[in-house]
Amino acid sequence: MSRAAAFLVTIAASASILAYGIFRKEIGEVMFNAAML
Amino acid sequence: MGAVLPNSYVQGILTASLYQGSLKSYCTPLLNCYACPSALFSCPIGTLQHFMVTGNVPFYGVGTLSVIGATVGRMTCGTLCPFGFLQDLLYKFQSWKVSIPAWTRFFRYAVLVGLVFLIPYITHENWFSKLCPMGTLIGGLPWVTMNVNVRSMIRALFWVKIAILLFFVTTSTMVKRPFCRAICPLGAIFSLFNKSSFLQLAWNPDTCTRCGKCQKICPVDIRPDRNWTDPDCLRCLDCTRCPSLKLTTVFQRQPFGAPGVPEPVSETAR
Repeated sequence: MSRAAAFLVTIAASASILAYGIFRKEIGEVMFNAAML
Repeated sequence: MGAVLPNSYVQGILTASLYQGSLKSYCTPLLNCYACPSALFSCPIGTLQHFMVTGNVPFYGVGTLSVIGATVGRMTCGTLCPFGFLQDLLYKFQSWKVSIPAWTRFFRYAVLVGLVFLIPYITHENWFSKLCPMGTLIGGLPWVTMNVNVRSMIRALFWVKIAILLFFVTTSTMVKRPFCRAICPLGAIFSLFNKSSFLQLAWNPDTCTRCGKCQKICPVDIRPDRNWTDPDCLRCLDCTRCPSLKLTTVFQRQPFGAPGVPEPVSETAR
């Protein structure tokens, strides 16, 4: 697999994981964790 | 810039308090302690550990780091990381210089799996953050200096953290970026993307004389002319001072032009 194809697959997978994390409202959890320090 | 931008909450230093605004929802692409009084953003490694401690999969943290890694590889380590910059400065001291073998890089993957994922999941404690020398430098030490109550809470673990920080400060005067190469779990994550990231280093075999100067100026002591997608490469671009190496993108098939054909001379150069 060429590097360009590997990049496209990786960025698509990464963006999907990030979008799922945002969908699960994990941003609020990150902020809560920072506030509890 | 990496030290100043994520740590520009001056009020935190003046009033000995933590910033708790909305920016703390976002992770910096750097090893930057969010317990630092001036920190504006969250530490990505601290965030991953928090999710492991609570028994959840850190999709947001992994996704953020993967998107950054897939785009620039380890470039944030080479251009923005304040702890990396400190190690670069320390290496400039006149002292006995030694090189460490390439296999030491595998320690950082062990640290990532063990101290960031497995042990926090089992013990419900953020073990990497407890020992992180960057956390001691910009989080632990300022708090101990500024707050009497924190000073009264010092236990043996604090001195272990100080010993770890002193160890890396000392070894950085002798070894190029020892923490980044052998320990940093954030670097371990980003290094997985070096081979297929959008930004790539390109090497021109037609013009390279194999003089080895690129290794001498490399902050992690690698030979970009032998492996320009090395997982250790920080993409600091110091080696691109040599015309045989340059920054390119993964979509550029012939970054130096067709083999044997000289690059066109620009109008201004004529």
